[in-house]
Amino acid sequence: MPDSILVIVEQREGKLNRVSWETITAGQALAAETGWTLEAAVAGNSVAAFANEIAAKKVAKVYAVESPTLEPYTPDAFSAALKQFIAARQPKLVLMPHTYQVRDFVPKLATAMGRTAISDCIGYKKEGDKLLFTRQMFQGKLAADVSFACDAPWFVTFQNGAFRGDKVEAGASAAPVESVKIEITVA
Amino acid sequence: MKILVCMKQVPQKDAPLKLNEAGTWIREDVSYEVNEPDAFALEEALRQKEKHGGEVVVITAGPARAQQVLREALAKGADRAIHLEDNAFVGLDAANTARAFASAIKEEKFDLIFTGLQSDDYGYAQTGVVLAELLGWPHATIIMQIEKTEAGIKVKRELEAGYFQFVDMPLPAVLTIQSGINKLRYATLIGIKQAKNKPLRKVALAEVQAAIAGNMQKIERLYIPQKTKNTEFLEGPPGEVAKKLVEKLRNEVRVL
Repeated sequence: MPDSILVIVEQREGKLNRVSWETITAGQALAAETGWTLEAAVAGNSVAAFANEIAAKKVAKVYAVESPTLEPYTPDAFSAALKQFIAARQPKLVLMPHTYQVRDFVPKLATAMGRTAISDCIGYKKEGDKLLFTRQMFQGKLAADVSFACDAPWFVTFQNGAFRGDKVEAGASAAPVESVKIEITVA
Repeated sequence: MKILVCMKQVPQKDAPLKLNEAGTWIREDVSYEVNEPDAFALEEALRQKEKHGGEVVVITAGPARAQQVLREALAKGADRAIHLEDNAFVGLDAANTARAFASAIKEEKFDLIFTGLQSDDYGYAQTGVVLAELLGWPHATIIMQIEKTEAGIKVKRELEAGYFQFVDMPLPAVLTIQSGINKLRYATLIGIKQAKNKPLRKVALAEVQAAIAGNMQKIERLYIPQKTKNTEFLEGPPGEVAKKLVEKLRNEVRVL
């Protein structure tokens, strides 16, 4: 499979969270610099409408990841469902907005997959083949460029406002949307 | 209720920070204090103990100086402390810190584990959630309120934009506690005296070495962020300038 970037957007209470556009902008920038394919996914119970909204942007493909257990949100269900989905698709980089909900499940998801998340990033740098993600440390007094020292998938969450949601590129035509039904057993 | 509170020692909030030679961390010659979010977690644990009885145990992973955080917690009313003592713990990422904690407490039977929301140095907000996954326990983050129920607990989680969510959870569980959930107490003189006699168990790095692995992420460089000053003139008729200004305030400065 070619190297890909997967942006997992957020939907809540019948609406696509506006910050999702920022994460797609980040994904588009990274895809342009790395040459990797950009795909997006939205998870929930009935998310075809959101998937179609995202498909209007410049992404190669959109996945509607669905399961009745994903509504209402629980970290357990989101972690289990996305673990299954990500393990099947094997993206190199998984991007998410650093929302209250993402903070609640991403460390669990990353750990369940034996990986790690560099969270609350304000940007990235590409130095040769290496990707570095910039975070604020010591309450903003210092900044750190952090790299991954493990195999993909690499989980990154971006801080609200790190990228311009209004600068997201529209697609020339609607991207294909694939429905992915997830079966998970929730205790 | 047997509650474990994970605590961290961090540089003091107003301490001037200096970069080390390699530019990969700060110099250690700085004053330290308890990570404030963890102080709120401890306070919540002490209140739960006062309401429902039980035991509060505090744990930290860090050099010898980190013991101060445990002593203060014992003085405030915690019953015993666990110190994973080694300089090497400073460089561990959240995942490894969680693994070290899980290893150190494997003989214990806690009902609840609290952590502060995040640390004031790294600010990852991950250790608690990673720990829950490692233990196979349910978790909830950004907790504003905890109530005991028949089946376990009912917690109030903070969401964006002033919203809250109530969640019913079984025990045992891991909770990351929101700062400001309560008002911090001061240690009393009697508390400080009693703290000296409370059990403090030291755990060497070797004891948890098997549980930890290499860090999965690496700080390549740490630096002072560059502040840029930029003055931009908006030109055009007032109506247009107003439109441009709103666009900038909304999309660039993000105050609208």
